[in-house]
Amino acid sequence: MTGRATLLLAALLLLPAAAGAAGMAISASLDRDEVALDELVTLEVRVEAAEAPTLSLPTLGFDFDVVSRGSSRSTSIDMGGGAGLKVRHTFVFQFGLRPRHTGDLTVPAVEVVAGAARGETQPLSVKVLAAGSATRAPGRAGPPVLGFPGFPGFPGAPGGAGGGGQNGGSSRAWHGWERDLQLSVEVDKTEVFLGEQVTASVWVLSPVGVAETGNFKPPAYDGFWTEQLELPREPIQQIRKKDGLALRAYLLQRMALFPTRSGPLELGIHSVDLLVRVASDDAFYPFGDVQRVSRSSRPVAITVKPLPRGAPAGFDPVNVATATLSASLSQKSAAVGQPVTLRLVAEGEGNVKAWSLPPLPALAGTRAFLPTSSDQLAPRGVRFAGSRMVETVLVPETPGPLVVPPLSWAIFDPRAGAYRELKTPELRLEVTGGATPSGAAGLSQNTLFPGLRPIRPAGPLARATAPGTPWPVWAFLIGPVAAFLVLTGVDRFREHRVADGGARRVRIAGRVARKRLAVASRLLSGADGAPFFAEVERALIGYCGDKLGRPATGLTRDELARALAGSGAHVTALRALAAALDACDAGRFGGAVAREELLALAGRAMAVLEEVHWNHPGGGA
Amino acid sequence: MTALLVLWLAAAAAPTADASALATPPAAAAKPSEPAPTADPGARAEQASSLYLAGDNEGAARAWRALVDEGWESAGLHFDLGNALLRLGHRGRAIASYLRALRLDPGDADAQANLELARAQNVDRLVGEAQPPLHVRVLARTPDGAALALFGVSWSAFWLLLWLRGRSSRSARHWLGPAALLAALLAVGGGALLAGKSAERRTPSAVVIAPATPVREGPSRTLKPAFELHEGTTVQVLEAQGDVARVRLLNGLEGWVASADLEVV
Repeated sequence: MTGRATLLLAALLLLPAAAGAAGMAISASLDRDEVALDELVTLEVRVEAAEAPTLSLPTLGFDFDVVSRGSSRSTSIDMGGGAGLKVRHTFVFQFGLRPRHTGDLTVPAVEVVAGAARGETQPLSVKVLAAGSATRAPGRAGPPVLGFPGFPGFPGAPGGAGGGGQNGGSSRAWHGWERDLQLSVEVDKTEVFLGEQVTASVWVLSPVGVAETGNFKPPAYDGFWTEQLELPREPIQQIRKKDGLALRAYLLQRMALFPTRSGPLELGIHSVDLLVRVASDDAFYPFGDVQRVSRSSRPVAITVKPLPRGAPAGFDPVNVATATLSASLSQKSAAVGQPVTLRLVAEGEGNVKAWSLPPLPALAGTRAFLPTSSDQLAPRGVRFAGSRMVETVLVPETPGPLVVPPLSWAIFDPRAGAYRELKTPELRLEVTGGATPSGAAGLSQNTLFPGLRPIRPAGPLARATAPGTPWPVWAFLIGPVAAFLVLTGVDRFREHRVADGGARRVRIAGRVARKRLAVASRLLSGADGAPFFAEVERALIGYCGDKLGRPATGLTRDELARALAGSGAHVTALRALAAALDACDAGRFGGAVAREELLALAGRAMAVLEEVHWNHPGGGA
Repeated sequence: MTALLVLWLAAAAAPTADASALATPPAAAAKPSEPAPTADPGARAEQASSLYLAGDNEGAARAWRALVDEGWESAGLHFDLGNALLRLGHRGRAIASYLRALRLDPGDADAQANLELARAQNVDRLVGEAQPPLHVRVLARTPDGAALALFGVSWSAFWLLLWLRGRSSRSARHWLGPAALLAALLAVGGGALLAGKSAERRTPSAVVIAPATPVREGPSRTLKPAFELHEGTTVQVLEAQGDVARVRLLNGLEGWVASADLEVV
């Protein structure tokens, strides 16, 4: 039967099933009627219904494994026939089925439920041949994919793989891309030694563009130690040819797997959800469509051989590697008590994190601290590689040469398929003399400290503050504030005095003048009369100056009289003042006036002056 | 602002309580007012230096320690004592001495270098120890006297400038105002330093001087130790109860240790 005949058979199978309810049409088809045990057959169920249907694949008597699922939906609007506007939804479900055994198998009826409507497909038959048998390939007819139009050999190219229109049927019925869309797990080896690396790459192979991948579920990798080699954030795309068909290959993950037990092992099923871009085959709807599909991989069998016999003494099965070993000391000489680091580095390909490096034997006259280990991972392409460094701090306790003997590391090299024994060279450290106890005291340990900075003059010593002694913060806080308040207060006082000075002088002028007259009276009996007369004149002139608000010394009698008259002094007061001043002058220069008489004149003048209603500068008496 | 500053610094001026309860530092044992038993402490420090240079580390340490116990101090004195203690194998006490030298002179490169040398042999490696934040580093690099001086000078200048502004001409007020503001900001900075220093005094640093000391989750010695600290590890003393103290490691771990196993810096 040719491919064309196969497709005709599929078309014949597209008979409408008896729908359990009006308004729903169901049809089912297989893309081939003959399939090998290691091949896939695609079941397509097409449902026309008003609501989105749900499908239930039977579980009992179902002789297939479902390895992929996919669905699409299309809507058509019919305006002809005078029946008004009619909207039809078509739902297409595809299932990739892998037969479980050979023989004539039947895909049982599939139940479809859409709202209240219920129906089922008719059973379909397929002949299953032994694995590897030549079967009739399903036809490919012009895949409606977003490919590279005009690119020979690529989906979508005229005359490309499958050739357009070869089935002669409607392109709408062709869904070859669903079958060719696969999740594939590729391993570099299927037979390895225990602990030897297997590189597993998980690819999505697709004839259509993959817009998005998600929900990637790897298996548990039971029996393997796994290390990630690549996990691209965005799928890495390659172009591959498979069975003459160009496919896009997207790398999802690349792992280094190290078997941890011998015997047959299996890489389980990986699964992933994909969003694919499918071109429209509708001339009236030129835009592409995005469909969600899921794919699962096939299990991959791996045979793990045990390590061969004849392992050297001290070999640890985790040391399967293609590696080198080196050792070094951090310095060539050290003083007693000075720590030195011994570094043991293994570098190469293999399960670096599991490597067990040889332990350091006890070294006489040396104290060894617990070793620390660190790994540097640096995969080389698809090989897991790196280095493991073990550092041990040694503290020599006695002077003399310290010898680190060669260290031996037995490994199994899977490339050579044989055991190897790696050795480090002998390392020597010159330990210089230790500290000598101080002779006189004999108590000191006097440990040497290379790099210790020497003592120096203690410098000026000061009394330490006892712990808990509070800082004089209150003094710091309050002192400036108090000084500010005092200074401001003084300023205010002075300003007040300056502002009030004139009135005050006027107010106390009489008191001041009488005090001076009292002083003059005490000078009354003095041998020298000059101080007496000067004090009397100062009392009178001073009084006048205070009342005038300006110095009166130096004014002539007329000027003084006019100024006093201008300030409110009456004639009687002016005359009394003039009489007293004249008497004072006469007494001072002529001596004709009796001192008692002058004192009386001055007293009278003061009494009269104090009766004056002064109007300048204070305005009051 | 002034009122806040006053309240803040009043708290800073409060005497420390917890540290005094754990008075293990040598300087705390002697009253600073006590007169020295013999003459010139400088000469005695020089004699101790001679002993040290002659290899008598113990004699030198004893002489320097006597000076410290009498209440004398200088960065150099603590540094020299640290060297002698380090050579004697008292690494924890040496670290405490270097920390005291650095407290008096945060820029002392010699003390810093020897401190790192001594700490290099610490057994304890703290997991999760974070780089101290900027303000803590500034605090550590600022001597107590400098913080006090900064605050005192700027605070006084602030009030002086305020007073001058009140009695100056209009033109002078234009620059006296910003100057007073600057002085106020400096005073706030100085006050912050003082407050930080005060907080440090309330939770002083201490160094483990015992080869190993168990850390428990409570003050009772019957509790099972949660972990162990070793000589040279620096802790913060949060409180003291009897002969045990609650300490905090630099990575935030807390627990109770015997006070005798600590030396407060």
